[in-house]
Amino acid sequence: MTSIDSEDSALLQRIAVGDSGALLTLHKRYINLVYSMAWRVLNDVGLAEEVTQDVFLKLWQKGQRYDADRGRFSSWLLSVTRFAAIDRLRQEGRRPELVEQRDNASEDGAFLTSRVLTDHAQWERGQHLRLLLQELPADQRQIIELAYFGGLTHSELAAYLDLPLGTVKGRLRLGLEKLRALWLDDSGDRQ
Amino acid sequence: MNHETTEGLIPAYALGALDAGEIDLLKTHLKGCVSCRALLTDYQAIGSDLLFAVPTVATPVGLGEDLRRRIRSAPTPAGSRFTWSGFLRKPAFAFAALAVSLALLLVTNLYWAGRMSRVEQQAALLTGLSQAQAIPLQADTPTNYASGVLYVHKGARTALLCVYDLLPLPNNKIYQAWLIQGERRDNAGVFQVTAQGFGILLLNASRPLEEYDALGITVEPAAGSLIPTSPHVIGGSL
Repeated sequence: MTSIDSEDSALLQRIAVGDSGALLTLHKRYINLVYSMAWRVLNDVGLAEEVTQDVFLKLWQKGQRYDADRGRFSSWLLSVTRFAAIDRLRQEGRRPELVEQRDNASEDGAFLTSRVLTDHAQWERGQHLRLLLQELPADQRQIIELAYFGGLTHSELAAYLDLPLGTVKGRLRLGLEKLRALWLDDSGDRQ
Repeated sequence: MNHETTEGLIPAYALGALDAGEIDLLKTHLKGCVSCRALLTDYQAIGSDLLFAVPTVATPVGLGEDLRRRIRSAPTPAGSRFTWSGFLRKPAFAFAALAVSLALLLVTNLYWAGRMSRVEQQAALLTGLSQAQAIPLQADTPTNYASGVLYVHKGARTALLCVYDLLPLPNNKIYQAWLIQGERRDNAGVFQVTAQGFGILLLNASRPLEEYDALGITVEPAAGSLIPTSPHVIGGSL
């Protein structure tokens, strides 16, 4: 367990007894990651703001649901955010974005690493994976991003892309197999 | 469904992209297949890293304030409601509370007896705060909610620095205050903040404070630095 993990656990314990200062500390620590995830899924500033606030309010009211044995707090928080944003996407009847939009991503990289990032290694791995995704053929990258950030299943992907179900399954499988091979190569190179 | 077919479902399963029927088939297969469980671990790790594979977006100004407002009107966390009457109705807890209170009283008295001389020394400075000039300190970026106030007396070389909402630092880091004059940076002391982000520093300068242009606070290694090694987190003009 890193010092950040220990601090997060201590803050969550304080939140569980109603210490709002602890929540605000976690908010400052993770707001950029949470907002960035919400924005990536929703591609809408207003909705991303609402989802971000909802996630932190959930943390305030139900933070004790986090189980440290099942993974790191930052991963859990981003996972909660992804599902909340996908739920919101569905409630709004919006279609997921086909590709990553970069217009508003004005403060990439240096911004996070200098001010907000609390789990440098995992963020670095994530950003590396983002680069590896760019090495995939466009149709495979697109289907992976739609599945992950759009929350679409095989059959929903087939309807969304107007493709046969078999084509969707094959494309998603092939793309993820390639991504895994790149990811394993990359992990080996970095060790 | 054979091994090859179910194995092919694993990547999509890790991403949550399987339809309901496929999930049931795969779960049944996973129970008896060690190699598929190992493969799933790889893909789940990729799924976990994908959480951090998003472009980082500048957070809109004011989100922190909105949260403070909403917390005030939101119910307190589940299970945190506490009443003294309920607590004291339990005899064992009541006895334990009494014992702890007495012990705390004793320790506090001993502590303050030892601290009085220091308190008296600092009282002279603190009682002068009402006549001091209060210089606001602010962050450079809209997503940083930290702020501070420097209380300065005309002609003085000491001042009282109070900071609010700075991020608590890990043990190997410390906040360091710098007095700035042109290119010159004079160390003005180091401090930590509470878990709530509050910090206080009795600042000592080698020259009268009005000779300096500004004050900045940086994050430095725990032992402090001879020169600033990171950008200011907050600062202000003197």
